[in-house]
Amino acid sequence: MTLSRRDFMKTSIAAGTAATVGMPLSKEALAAVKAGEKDWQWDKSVCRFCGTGCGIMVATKDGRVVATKGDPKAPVNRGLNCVKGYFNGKIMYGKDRLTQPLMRMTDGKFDKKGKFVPVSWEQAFDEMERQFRKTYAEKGPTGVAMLASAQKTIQEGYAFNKLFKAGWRSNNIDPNARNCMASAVAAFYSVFGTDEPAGNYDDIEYTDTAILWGANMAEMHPILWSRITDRRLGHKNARIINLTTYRNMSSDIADLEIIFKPQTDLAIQNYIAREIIARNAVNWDFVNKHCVFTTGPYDIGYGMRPTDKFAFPAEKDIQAKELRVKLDRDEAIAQRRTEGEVVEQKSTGNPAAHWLISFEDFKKAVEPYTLDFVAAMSKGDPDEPLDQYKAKLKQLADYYIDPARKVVSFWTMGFNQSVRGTWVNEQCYMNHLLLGKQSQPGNGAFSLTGQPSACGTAREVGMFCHRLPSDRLIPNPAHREYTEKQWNLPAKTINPHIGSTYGKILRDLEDGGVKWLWVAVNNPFQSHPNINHWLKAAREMDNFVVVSEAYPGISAKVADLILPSAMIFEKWGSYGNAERRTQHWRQSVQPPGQARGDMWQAIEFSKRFKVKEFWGEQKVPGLKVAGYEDGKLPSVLDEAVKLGYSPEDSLYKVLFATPNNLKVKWPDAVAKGRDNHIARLLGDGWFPEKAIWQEYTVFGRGVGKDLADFDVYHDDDVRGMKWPVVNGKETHWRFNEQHDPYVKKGAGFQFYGKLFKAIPSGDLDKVTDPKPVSVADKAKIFFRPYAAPVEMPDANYDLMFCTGRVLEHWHTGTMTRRVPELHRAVPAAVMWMHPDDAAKRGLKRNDLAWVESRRGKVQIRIETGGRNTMPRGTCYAAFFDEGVLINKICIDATCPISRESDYKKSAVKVYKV
Amino acid sequence: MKQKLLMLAALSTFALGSYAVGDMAVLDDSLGLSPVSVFADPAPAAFEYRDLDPKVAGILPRSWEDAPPQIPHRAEKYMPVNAKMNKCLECHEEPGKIGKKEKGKPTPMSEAHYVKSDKGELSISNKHYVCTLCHAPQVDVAPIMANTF
Repeated sequence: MTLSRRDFMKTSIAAGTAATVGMPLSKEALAAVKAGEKDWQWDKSVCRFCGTGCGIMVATKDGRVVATKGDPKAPVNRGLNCVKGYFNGKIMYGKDRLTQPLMRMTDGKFDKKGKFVPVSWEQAFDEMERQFRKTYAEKGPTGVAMLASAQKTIQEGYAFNKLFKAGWRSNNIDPNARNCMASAVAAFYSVFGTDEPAGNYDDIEYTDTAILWGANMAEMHPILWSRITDRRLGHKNARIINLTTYRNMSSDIADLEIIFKPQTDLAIQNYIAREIIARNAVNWDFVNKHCVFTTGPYDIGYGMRPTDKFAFPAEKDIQAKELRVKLDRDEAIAQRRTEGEVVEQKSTGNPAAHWLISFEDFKKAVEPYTLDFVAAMSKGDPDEPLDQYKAKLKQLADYYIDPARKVVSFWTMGFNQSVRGTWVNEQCYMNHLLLGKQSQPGNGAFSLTGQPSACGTAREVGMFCHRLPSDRLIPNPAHREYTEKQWNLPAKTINPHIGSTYGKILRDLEDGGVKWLWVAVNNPFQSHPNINHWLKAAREMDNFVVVSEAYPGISAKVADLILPSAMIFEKWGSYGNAERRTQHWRQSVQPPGQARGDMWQAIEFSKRFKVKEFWGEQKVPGLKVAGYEDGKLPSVLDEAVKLGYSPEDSLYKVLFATPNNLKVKWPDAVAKGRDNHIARLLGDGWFPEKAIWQEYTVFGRGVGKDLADFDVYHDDDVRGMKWPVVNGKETHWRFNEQHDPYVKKGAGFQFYGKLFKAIPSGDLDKVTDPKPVSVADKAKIFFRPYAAPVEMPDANYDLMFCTGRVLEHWHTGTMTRRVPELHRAVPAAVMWMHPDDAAKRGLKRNDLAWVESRRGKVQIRIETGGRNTMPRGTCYAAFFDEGVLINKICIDATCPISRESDYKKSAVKVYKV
Repeated sequence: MKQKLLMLAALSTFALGSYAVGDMAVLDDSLGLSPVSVFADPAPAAFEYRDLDPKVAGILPRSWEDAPPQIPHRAEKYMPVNAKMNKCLECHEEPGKIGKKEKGKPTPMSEAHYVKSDKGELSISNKHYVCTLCHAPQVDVAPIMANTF
């Protein structure tokens, strides 16, 4: 029986016929309530980990989580979880959970060199306040900063954003999503004029062709991978193509695997565009109606510091490339220049500038990207025959171009974490737009997210140093004015000067620009690249670092003050996933000890400050904006009085406990008996998560970002909704008349995003007519050239190193490594490398080695087998392990447009300990 | 190695116990899963996945009744699971034995993993085809930190 079943599986799957159709048994099974579970209370909730946004059910008994399971009603995962998703309930119960504030003290007083001593919240906030005032008096709004998180709830993100931008008039709040999604966002803005994907996860079931670009979905988005696997095994025409720099688990199910050299995806995309034109496959009807052609400058640098003042001696040669770059052979061909030409990086100040070009120019630009050129420069496995690789590239182009095929391209960090991350995102849209395969069921370029609320919290709320809620931007005076009106602020309260990005905040800490830093729901001192700089800055510079944490991770260890935070099921919250689906949950259990929700921390801390301290004149070095005196924010106190405020009013009253918000009462029937520790602690009888939700959702109404009312998401039958939610209906595909109520009748498609829709005109090299031309309702097809990684292997650092995650652990492992099952699955980070590369260095599997770059070194065990197969010359290690701080070796160069770090390309050497 | 990890776990538990209950000050070096200075570059211990024959590996305890079972036996020789081959199914796909685990015999996949064809025949649901999304091979190491779940 077993044998014949297996044979059936083998033949049926190999032949690509429908192996299994029918009714899942699980539905019947799940309906039955087990005897032992009778006194369990089940709450619907959301997975704490990746951007997929799986629904889970959380069972509690006697105030503790006793089980979790995949939510069978959740359309994202339909009852299934990945291995770490199943252990959501266990992550809150690590024995060393932080349960009271800890401050560095000596003899009863704060001391930066002191040991950690338990203190009360009162004592903790007293010192935090004292340090805040000291820095604010010295440096103004630019001296304080927050490293925020795409793992905060939407309401937490909104509260912190408002505290910083409206209360403290500081734009120095930026999320770890900067290192995850910023390149995707920059491309959404430049191509469509509005953030976030057109499609949704149902594209998986509608498409014939799933093309993965540097996205190892089998490990990083396992539940989406189970849906892709389902589609592949069940439909004979379905194909999966895995473009990657090494063989990984996603290759196991793929039909075509293309191993390319890091960053040559830029060239491969242009090869496909060239083929589309050469084969006369441009969908001219779509392109003429809905698209324009554009390009921008190439000399944009690599997002490094413009000076070598802070560089380690070994870093200086690479840092110098921020100013000028000598083009290598491939770049020269790709950019129509001469090999060896030295290019001054003149556009570092305005890397996102772009202008209209003609189709003839576009065609000329992609002309050098012939199969011969691109195959030779992009082949990533030195042991693969060139002809075989060429055939694969051609096959890839065939899949895209075949008019009978629907195509979805998926990507995450392989694209985004690149010094040309924005460009390669734009290129992916380029090909989908040229073919007219965009914004339709089963057709589209689909940017996946890494974190559970990169979309909901970081992007939609606008918790970035340059953003405001719902696609509004700090530099746009109309957007600031709108936000000030909604927040009932005096005009010109909001600082018009863009704040520091995530990486720049850490550089500011190093050069003394920032002296008061709050970190919450992320672990930058483990997760940001080139951490030797930042660890030193935190511990050795004159500054004050507060870390809100659930466990003592690396960032907590370098903090001056650790605040114990409530975790996901211990508070009310909401997350927004990668398909625009917003999901809410209730507080299921109480936080342990003195741990409290981050939103309570933000709101309670705001009680200590008065508007007069911030709304008077403030210095902002570098501020140079029309209508403002250089370097100064005006006093808005007189205006504030006219609005009915007293200068003595607290920020709590003005920002959070507003008359409208106080009307939203706690307790509320929507809680169905569940508690809310934050409402209870704040007192005043209001329901902060609901009040803030309602305040926030006004921003999105009527501008294509509509969210539903709070209670709707808590309905027993609702499992999140995809925005825009218009007249109670969610939107499945944006920009498509058949699905999106924002598209004009008769338009077919309408790329109605409003940002960057008036641009100059020019040729491939420059602007020739600066007069802005409206490109309203159009998407832009960008030409972007290949550019080499900023750091390439050389005789000394002879391997290309890439970092990322593993399936079993989440990010820096602070939660998942405390789950014994997950720890036993992957106990430590290992360095995957090719057996020949290992042997050449006298190494074999499990040997201890140093991995060293220009920036630092760590010890690690070698792995030559297992789930990844590296081509010669490339190596990989994950960053979850605080015992192997791999970010000591990673470069902190970024995409100059998005300011997202390039974690995927550091030159290293590996040698025996 | 197992002993070393146990020792580390014990050390950190001790340190953490002290800040949680008393007024003793704690050095940052004693916190976390790697209780050393953040400037140190410790040598990670080597580890090996269980290499037990499935027939003698037994089963691993589950956290709660419906927690996904983890793989108690050697797994590398059965990997990878790909479109043409799934060696896990050779032993664990037993639609006739759902819920009937026998000692020394493979654990039959739970009913959640199957779909029923029109003819009533049970086979694995394609969504559940990649076993390692939910079931991971395990290393015999002590928890790096105790968990009170």
